[in-house]
Amino acid sequence: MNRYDVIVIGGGLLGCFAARNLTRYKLKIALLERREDLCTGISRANTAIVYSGYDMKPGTLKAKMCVQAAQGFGELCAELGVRYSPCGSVMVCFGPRGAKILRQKYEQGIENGVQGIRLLNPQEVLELEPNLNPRVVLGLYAPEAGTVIPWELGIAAAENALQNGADILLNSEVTDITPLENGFKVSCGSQTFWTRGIINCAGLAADEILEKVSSPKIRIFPSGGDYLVLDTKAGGYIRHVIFHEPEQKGKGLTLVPTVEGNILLGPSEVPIEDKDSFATSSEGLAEIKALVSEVIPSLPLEHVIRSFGAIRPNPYWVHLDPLSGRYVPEDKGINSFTILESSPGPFLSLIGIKTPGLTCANELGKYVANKMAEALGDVVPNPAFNPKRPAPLRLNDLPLAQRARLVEENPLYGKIVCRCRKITEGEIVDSIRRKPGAVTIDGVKRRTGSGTGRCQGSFCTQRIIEILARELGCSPAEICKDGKGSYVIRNMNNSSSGKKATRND
Amino acid sequence: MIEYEIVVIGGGPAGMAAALSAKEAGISRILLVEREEALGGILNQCLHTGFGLTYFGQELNGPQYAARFIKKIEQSDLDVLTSTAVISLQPDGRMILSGASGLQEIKAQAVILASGCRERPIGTLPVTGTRPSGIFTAGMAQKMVNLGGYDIGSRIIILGSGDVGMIVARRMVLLGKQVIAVIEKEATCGGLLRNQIQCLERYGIPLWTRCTVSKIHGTKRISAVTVQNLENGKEEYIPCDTLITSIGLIPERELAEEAAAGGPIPDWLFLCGNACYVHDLVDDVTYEAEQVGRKATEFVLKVKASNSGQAAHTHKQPGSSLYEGDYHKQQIEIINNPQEKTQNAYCIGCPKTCRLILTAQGWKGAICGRKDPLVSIRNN
Repeated sequence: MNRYDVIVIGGGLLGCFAARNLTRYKLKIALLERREDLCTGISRANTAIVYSGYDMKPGTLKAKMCVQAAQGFGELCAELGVRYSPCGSVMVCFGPRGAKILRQKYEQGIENGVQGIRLLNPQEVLELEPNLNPRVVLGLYAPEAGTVIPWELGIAAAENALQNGADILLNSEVTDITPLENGFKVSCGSQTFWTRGIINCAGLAADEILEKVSSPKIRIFPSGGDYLVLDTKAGGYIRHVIFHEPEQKGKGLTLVPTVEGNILLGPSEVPIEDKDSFATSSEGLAEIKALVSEVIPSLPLEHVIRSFGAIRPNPYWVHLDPLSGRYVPEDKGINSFTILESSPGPFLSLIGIKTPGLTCANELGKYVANKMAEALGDVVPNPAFNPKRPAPLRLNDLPLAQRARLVEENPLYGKIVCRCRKITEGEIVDSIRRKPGAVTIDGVKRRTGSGTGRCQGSFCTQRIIEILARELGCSPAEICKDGKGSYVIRNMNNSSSGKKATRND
Repeated sequence: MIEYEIVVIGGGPAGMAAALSAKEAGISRILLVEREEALGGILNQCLHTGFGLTYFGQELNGPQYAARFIKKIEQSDLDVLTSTAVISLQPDGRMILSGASGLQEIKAQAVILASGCRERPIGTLPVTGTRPSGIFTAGMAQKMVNLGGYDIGSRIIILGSGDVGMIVARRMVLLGKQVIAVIEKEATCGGLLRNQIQCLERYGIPLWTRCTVSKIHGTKRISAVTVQNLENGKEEYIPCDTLITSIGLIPERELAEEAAAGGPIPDWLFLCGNACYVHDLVDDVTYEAEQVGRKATEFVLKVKASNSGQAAHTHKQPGSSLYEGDYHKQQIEIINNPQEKTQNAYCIGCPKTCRLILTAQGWKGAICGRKDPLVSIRNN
């Protein structure tokens, strides 16, 4: 009981994929997640891009993984029943500095083995993206890039891990790790687990987890990024992921035509202090808008329906500053994928995995799972491993006749709850009943897309709270938006009776 | 596929009035589709009074106003489908209905879109900070409080002095909550003067004009907002546990856009109520919707006569000779509500000749959603 071969700490994208790939072996596996749901950290807010692999320095693990991952991404998504838009990407620039960088990236891409990559003259760029600023001077096209919904991918991997025998333990924050002779004792509050090996995928807290057993070498210094989401009405405005290489130093604009038909704009980059703060800044949002006017001036910004802030985990080597007694970062941040093997082991840490972490999630998962299997020694493949995860029903994607049959079988598939995205009560109930299922409004949102449309949940939130309460057998007042404390309803009953309002008004 | 002469989408005040008037005008096969479980639309959550003063000469609350029409509909032989949503309206007039009773394909000779409006979400504003729980649009808060019976918070900031925001502010005070302030970016109140007096002043709710919420604080539930004075840029940190937004209503006519498929609105499609433009008073909605119901009837009868009963839209293109002239004129009559104080401005971009209203963002109200309507200002 409570004895595992491997414990994965952290239920973000990387943790989910580490767990999934560990189930390829005959091992007893647990995934520990401190929150009530998966993919609530870095995985929930990023640019959603599958990179083709020309950005990475040739010969690095990152480059190799990224190119390989991009080429197999469609297949991975098919396996996991995840929607993938292989729309390709175009990098554009408006001056000589950018052109030089694009040519370098092209050479790099060729060296890395990125397929189908080519440089485009302005006319060719405008044929691909007619709404772009016609002053574009050069384009770099990569057909193997695409876009995916990060949390959809992560949750699918976790479901697949669960199907293949892994335990997924939510609300389990690791409070202590004690090395033992042959493994570790892992405490989550009053709960204790024993495990032979640990894979640390704790995202922004990966450094803190590692420091429970070893002295600090790497610390994560987060930075924030702001994004804007445009309504599906603006959806056809771009066709590819567009990267903008600016003439001035700094981050260019990125535009993504999302799987669900929106446009995602961003990110700006701003330093932040609080690891829990998914906040947006006025500077960041203003910067995005200024860049839009340079890159794609006619983009209908009146269709913005949401802005959100993301957190990027920037890893730095640190040293102890004798004066202050604090760990301070070395000058340059770490740019490569950092997979630390610490002793006592086997203890593998994925620390500060940034772009292209989403693209490489499965590859990284495979990599650490194989390394762990090797370290444990006596491990054999799991003959029952099934890489396929049954996809949830998405009624909008089905032919009408099939849809009609489903409604006949289950009337809930006929009841539209989220009117903007046309999500039915049946799909919402499914998202709650699946394992691991949604327990919050945002959990339902991540699994079904409800509340992400142009009304941003103003029509459906109450209904979703009531469905969650009914399915989970609790009071609507217990349903949270996004984790403990984020209640929507304070109490079940209004503090004074309703009769006053009808009379006195 | 089931065929109707007229399908009315939306069972709120506009849809009910349009359906009833088409019935009275002589159409026998009418279907009224409502996505909620009951007819009435937003009226059902409006427990306050102020409805019916011109139409019934009597002050009613929302459910009372709705009940008068619901009763008439129950007494008529109109086909009504509740808990049913139209998920697609195609350029040829076919539509797909989705409800617990099944999926249906329906074809209509004329469609009246009375789908109301939605609230502008806070994401459309450049409000920075976190995205915690405890942020509601005014209509959503009103529904949760009035129909759900839920307590949604006790220290409340209201952003935007639209009518719904002010009505909700008063409702919260009546429930014993603290409404710290209603915050308005303009120099004057955004809603009706009557609501400013009856909802805010009478209850001592402060209205802070030339101010906005510039930042949201709190990681789980909202804990405070930063209120910025737009005159001098000064910011103030105001603790609260709830933020209610009333920053504008947007006609919900995506189905019309789907049917138009990038072109003008088809001539068999009529819009009324807040799906056409956002009204101040429900009485006006009823008057206009009744006229739209009659115009849709005329359309159906006329097409029937000229095409010997063949489907209208397969033969008629918008703007072609049959409807130019009198159709044009009738449309102007429909929208020329004598009680409206704004100018008689119309969009002449297509035969619908939508009545336009002048907003801070320019002329609005073209039902095709065109950004720059072709404005023509007429004298009566």
